[in-house]
Amino acid sequence: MKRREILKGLSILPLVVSSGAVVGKQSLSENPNDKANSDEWFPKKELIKTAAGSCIRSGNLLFIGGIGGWYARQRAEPGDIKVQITSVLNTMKGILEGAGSSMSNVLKIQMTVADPNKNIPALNEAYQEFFPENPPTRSYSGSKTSQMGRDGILCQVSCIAYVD
Amino acid sequence: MNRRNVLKSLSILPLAGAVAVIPKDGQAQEKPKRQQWTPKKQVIRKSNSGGNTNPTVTGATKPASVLSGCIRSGHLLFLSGIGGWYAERRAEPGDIKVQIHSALTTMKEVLEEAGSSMANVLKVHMTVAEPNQNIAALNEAYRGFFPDPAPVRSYTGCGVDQMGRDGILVQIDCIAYVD
Repeated sequence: MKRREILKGLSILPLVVSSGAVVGKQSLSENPNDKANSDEWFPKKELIKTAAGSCIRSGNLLFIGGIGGWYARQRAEPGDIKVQITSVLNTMKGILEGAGSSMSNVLKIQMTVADPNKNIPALNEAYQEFFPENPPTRSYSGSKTSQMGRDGILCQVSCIAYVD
Repeated sequence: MNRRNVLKSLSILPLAGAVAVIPKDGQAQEKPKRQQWTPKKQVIRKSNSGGNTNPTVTGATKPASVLSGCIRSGHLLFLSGIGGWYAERRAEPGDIKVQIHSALTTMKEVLEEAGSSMANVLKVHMTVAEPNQNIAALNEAYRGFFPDPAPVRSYTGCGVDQMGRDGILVQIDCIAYVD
């Protein structure tokens, strides 16, 4: 047992030396921005789990993957586009707030919308209520209802937000 | 047991030293970290679309749009999807070459107005109607807009009747950096 602990201690030493060397190099750096940048990059990639769902944080950006407008475990019926976009944005709100951000911090939205020529106006009506001021940038792709990944789902929405 | 604890504490000591050094470095910086993060979210342009090309951000004479045209956060710019055709701009929608040319010209305007450029674009996403038919011609017109190295790009294809409104063949957005 003693020997094992000694080995452990020894195995840590080289790591300590190398991190010491990095610090030394930083303090020798002539450009203060180099240091600022390397310090700024935290976390590199952190999975944040909230009650509403997960997202990934990198630096001060949050990435939320595509949220579907309908999950059978949430509701019995898929509902129309208004029901679905409201459901999506409520989930998004929950994730953002759980991660210390908010809907007003959203920078960019990407949507896939089934039958957009028919559904976009109604979607926008419900959507606007979630972003009353300085709405995020947005783009979307359309598809047939039979190309959304599974039956019943009418929209899928992802976003990039910032977090302090 | 004593020996074990001694080893443990020894292995921690140098680390503690390193940790103590880092904050010193931090204090030596002239700029506090937070300054890197301005602006958090700044609407550079309310709309990129044809009906509202006036870049006036504060001229809130129009009803609130559902989206912002261009947002800056830190050193990143986010642009909304720019359509290949707006009736306010041209009578006829035109083919895919005309449309991508129009959309990328708008993208260039928006970026340059925000103090960035096409050379600073990092990532492009497109929705293309009938891509099997249109992507080759699109690429021909696309190439000339981006100096080397061209930004990363991805696209989604769909039918002409799934572009949101009739006549439009492409919608394109991007993320760029700005100094």
